[in-house]
Amino acid sequence: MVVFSVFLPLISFFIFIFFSKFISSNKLIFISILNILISTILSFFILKNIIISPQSDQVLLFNWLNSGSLNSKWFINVDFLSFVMVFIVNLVSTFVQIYSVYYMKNDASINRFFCYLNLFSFFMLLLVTSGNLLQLFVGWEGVGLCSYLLIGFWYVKNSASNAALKAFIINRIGDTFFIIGIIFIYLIFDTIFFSEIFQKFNKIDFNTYNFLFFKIDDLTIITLLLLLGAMGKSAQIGLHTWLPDAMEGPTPVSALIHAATMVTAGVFLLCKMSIFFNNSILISNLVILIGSITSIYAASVAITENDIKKIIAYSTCSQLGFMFIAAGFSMYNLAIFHLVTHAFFKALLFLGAGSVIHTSNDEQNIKKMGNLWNKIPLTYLTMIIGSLSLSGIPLFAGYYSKELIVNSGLNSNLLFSNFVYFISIIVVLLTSIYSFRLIFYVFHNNKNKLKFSLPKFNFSSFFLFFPLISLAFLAIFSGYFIKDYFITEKFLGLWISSNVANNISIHHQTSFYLSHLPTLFSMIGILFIFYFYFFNNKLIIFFKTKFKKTYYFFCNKWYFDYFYDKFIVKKIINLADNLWKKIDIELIDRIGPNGLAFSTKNLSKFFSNFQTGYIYHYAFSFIIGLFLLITFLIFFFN
Amino acid sequence: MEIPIIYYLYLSISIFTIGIMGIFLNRKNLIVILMSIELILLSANINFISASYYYKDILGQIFVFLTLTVSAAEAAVGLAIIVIFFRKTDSIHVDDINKLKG
Repeated sequence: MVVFSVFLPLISFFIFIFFSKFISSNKLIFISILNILISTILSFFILKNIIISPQSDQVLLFNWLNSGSLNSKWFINVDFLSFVMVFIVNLVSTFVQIYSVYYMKNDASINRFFCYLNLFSFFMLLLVTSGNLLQLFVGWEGVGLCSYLLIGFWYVKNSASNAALKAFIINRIGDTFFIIGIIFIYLIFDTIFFSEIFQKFNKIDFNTYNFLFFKIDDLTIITLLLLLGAMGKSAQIGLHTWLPDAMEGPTPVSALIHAATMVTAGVFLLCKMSIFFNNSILISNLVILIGSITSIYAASVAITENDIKKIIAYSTCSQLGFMFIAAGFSMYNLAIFHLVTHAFFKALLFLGAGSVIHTSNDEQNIKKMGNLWNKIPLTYLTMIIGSLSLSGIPLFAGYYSKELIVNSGLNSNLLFSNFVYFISIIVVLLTSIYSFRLIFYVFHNNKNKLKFSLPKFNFSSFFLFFPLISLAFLAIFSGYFIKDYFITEKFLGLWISSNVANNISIHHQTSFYLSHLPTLFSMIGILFIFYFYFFNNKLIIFFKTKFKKTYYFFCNKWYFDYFYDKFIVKKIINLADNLWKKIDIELIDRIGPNGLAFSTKNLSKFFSNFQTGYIYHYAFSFIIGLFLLITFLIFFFN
Repeated sequence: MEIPIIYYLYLSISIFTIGIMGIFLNRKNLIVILMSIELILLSANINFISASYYYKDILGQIFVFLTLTVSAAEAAVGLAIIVIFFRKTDSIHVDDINKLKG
């Protein structure tokens, strides 16, 4: 049962690989959706069992590597943390696959698309259920590979293949740090199994080094490396530039990447290795700083962005920042809680955006859309639900997780906690502003006359409506119904049994007024937008001219891409160009293969001059040789 | 009167030299080269015979018969080559044989 819940997507992947020539794609897609549905249901029941009796179980799959003391048996880890993730990944994958039937129905290579989707889900499931670090790394890399394949799905588009490369390369940077971290852990703990690492953790004395003027111990180094790995996958500041560009892929893929797979892997890693992060104050401070800077960065860029998908992508970036903040405050359960609710409303927003894009003939610029609200009312409604949930309006799912994360800044002892609290309040305000700016431009702005192609109501519209409606329900109700498992002490056993360090009792200490500050701010943001766009249009222009420099700063994404392009990418391309032209062609080729061939040719030309072809020349050299030989023999052997 | 062996050796060495020079300096005819080779072999025969007489040993003279047989065979092969060459190129001029030129 456990094995099936993880491996069914892989089976559908192989079915697509082997049978796509023989079976019609409709049947294949049906099988694929059925498979993912079955594995969702299975994982739901497993999760239920775990909640009823908290346990941490391991199912042995096979022996992978055995070399000295390095042993890597593949396990499926059955505990609460893993199976919450398995359930979310499966659930969102199910909705995304159903939705893809609607969204990709006119695409010629829909088989390939489903094939990649299944592989993507499988690698994510492998990642979250792995029992040792190396197995986790396999999933980690597999997710990166699939994101490359899916972002570059429309590979004929130049921008798509570039974006895919960008995602792949930037992820490599994080992955390099991560694998160095794994090596460090192996060197110090002599094992890569999670259970053994967690057991040994308290018994090990960490060495301390003097580095420049700092004292650094092994723990800090390991934690820092793991953090850098997580930053690459979860698109935190510095390594975030791939995330907005990843919007080149088809919209269901964006939903999958942002809601369930890929970007959540970093947050999952922080929670999985929570013991390390919990014991390193320095890195915890770093985590909340990175999280807060990422969230303010992404939110500020999102309010000036015009591409509908990029706005949602930046909002993901910003919410991932929140998850990092929660993890930095040692509230890993809260990070996972936010991850779950975020998965629902972000998938909802992306699927809604896909519907909008289809309706407006593949137009993605929100400034060119408008007045769509009475044309696609269901999408309108679900998008509003998603946005309300994202902004953290009470009773919607996002409220429960987000409010707690923001307020946790008040109760923490970390050095930067007040700063982070301040930033996150601002981010809450910005979040509601950019979400409803999107809603306004897409659905209400009636200045523009864009050509629509309205969806016809037929059988295939089920594939559009079912995921939207179900996700909308989840985006409204999931927060209220599942919050107990994440934040109350009653279910603390779940977290302890899955080896997650936790800090649950925090949110009771906040005063009533302060605790509702984030809600207040997100309300203010929504009202702001209403006022701006419905009653006072000129105010926006006033703001744009007054804060021109800031506006351009945000517009240009804080010049991150510009900076990277100018100081890193261009330099590396130049370096590679020089290496190719100067070193490879000029030096190695000229001296090596070409030089050798050339000198051999010259030498043989020189020697072939001796062969005159005249008999008397040969005879002469023959006789001379004979004389010389005889002379030699007489002199030296007599 | 006995002729000292040294004169036989003088004779043989001068015939040998003539043969060598015949090969080097001859720019005309392939047959001349063949004849020069015969001369070289004959000079060797003279050496054999004179030494055999000097040492009173019959072995040298037996060897001469062997050499003569070999030289006859060699001359036949050489002449055959020359004939074939002539058929191919209509000439037995030495300067025409330069196919080995690199």
